[in-house]
Amino acid sequence: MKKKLPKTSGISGITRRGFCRWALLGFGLGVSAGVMGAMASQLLKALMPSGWFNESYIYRKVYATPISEIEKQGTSIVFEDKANHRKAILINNGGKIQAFSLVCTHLGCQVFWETEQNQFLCPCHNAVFAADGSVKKGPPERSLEQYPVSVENGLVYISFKEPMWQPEQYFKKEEL
Amino acid sequence: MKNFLKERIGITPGELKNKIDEKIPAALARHFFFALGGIPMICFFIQVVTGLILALYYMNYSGELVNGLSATYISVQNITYEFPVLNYIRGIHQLGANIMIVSIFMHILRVFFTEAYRKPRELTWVCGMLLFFTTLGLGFTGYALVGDQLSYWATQVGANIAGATPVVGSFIREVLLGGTEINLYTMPRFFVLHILVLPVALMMLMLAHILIVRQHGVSYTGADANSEKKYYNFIPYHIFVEGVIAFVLLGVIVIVVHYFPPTLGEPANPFVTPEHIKPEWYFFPMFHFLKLVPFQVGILATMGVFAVITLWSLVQTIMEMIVPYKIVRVIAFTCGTILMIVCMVFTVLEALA
Repeated sequence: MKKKLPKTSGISGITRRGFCRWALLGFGLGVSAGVMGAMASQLLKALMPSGWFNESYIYRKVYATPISEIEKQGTSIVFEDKANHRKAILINNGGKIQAFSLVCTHLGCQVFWETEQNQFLCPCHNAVFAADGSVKKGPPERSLEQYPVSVENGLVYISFKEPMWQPEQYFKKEEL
Repeated sequence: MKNFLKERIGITPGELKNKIDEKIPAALARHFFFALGGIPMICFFIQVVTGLILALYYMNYSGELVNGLSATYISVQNITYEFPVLNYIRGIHQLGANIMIVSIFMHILRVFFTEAYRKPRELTWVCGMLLFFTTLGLGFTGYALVGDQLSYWATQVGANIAGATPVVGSFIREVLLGGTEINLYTMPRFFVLHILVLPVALMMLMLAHILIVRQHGVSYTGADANSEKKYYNFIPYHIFVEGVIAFVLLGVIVIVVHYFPPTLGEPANPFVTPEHIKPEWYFFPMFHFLKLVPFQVGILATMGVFAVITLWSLVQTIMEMIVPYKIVRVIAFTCGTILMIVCMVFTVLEALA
């Protein structure tokens, strides 16, 4: 048989009633913390419909130009598709066709291609990138983003790296 | 009437007056430099009223509405060029923001160089610095709402600077932009930050700032501080003085806006960064500093400086426990002067760049 607890035993003494009260309070707090946590996680979800911390980019292959336009060494073509936020530059670097994003890797400004100097210039912080996208001068720490290029049947395709989640589709009500 | 109020809300107007009345050093009325704290508050009220009106005509849909122009851009165009009085309202809102920041700068300089932040007023300083950063946040989010080229690229650059913060950077950037890049849901976020989140934060900080200031009384350390013991009452005299300042300020703002009305640049184009992109002038020092040093170093150094400035009052209190006050004072003045000169030089260099 259980020994009956004294009603009180000094400062640290706990009565049965007191114990029950604390246990109930602890249980209640635990449950409310769980419910609050669940609600907070839902609020965080609502804050970011594209999802948190997932692989948020995808490559989309887009036709850019016939190969004849870019066959000569040193030529460059800027490809622009405003409706879908796509812009890249195609450069024939010594026979090799490369595509670069024109977004500066420093703070996201658009770089200009300077044909005569054979380099990219960023107007924001005067960064300079070489024709192969590498940093020549200025604060950026990474080379320009390079997009994969493929040539099929004499047509050049660029694989754009794009955010997977495009809010426009919810306005146009159509699949991308 | 007195009894009516006493019975229903528990206080009569007279008692209320005694409660919120405060003795102000008489010297403040003559030494304008010691009374700069009121101007940002007046500006804030101006911003609230003009901002409310602007919000009635502003649209935060950055997608195309017609002819390749966004709803945002067209609404700001209408505010600026089409509707009566609204270009004044926008001008006042714009200039009011700038005056708010200038007066906060001057208030900070005065408090710093008269050492009014010393014990027991450390928390007033911390609160004030938080107010300053909140105001800068309001400046940044407000600039982003305009929808022209400079506004778009300032948003882009600003979001990327926030994104470069160690550890939490990408999280902040995503929350701010509503995605990995600027998209249709970016504008509503800046709008909500600008008209709700930051103003409410500012109001709460303002309340805390004022309550702590009143707790310790206004600090006056002018040359005649010890000889003069005259005071005047907060109600009605100080309120009257602030009212006069508000009217003069508003008058000056309206005249300036009349001769230099607000304008609107080219519509935002995500594919072309303007040749001379610059943030608002109060971000010049930071923007220029980022040009000079490697990116991560620049971000970390800027945040370090911000943290030290914000907590300076506490840092000084701790230093005073270890080092004699005279030396601490020299250190404080030297650091403050150097920072001020560097900021001024960077601002000028950026303005000329």
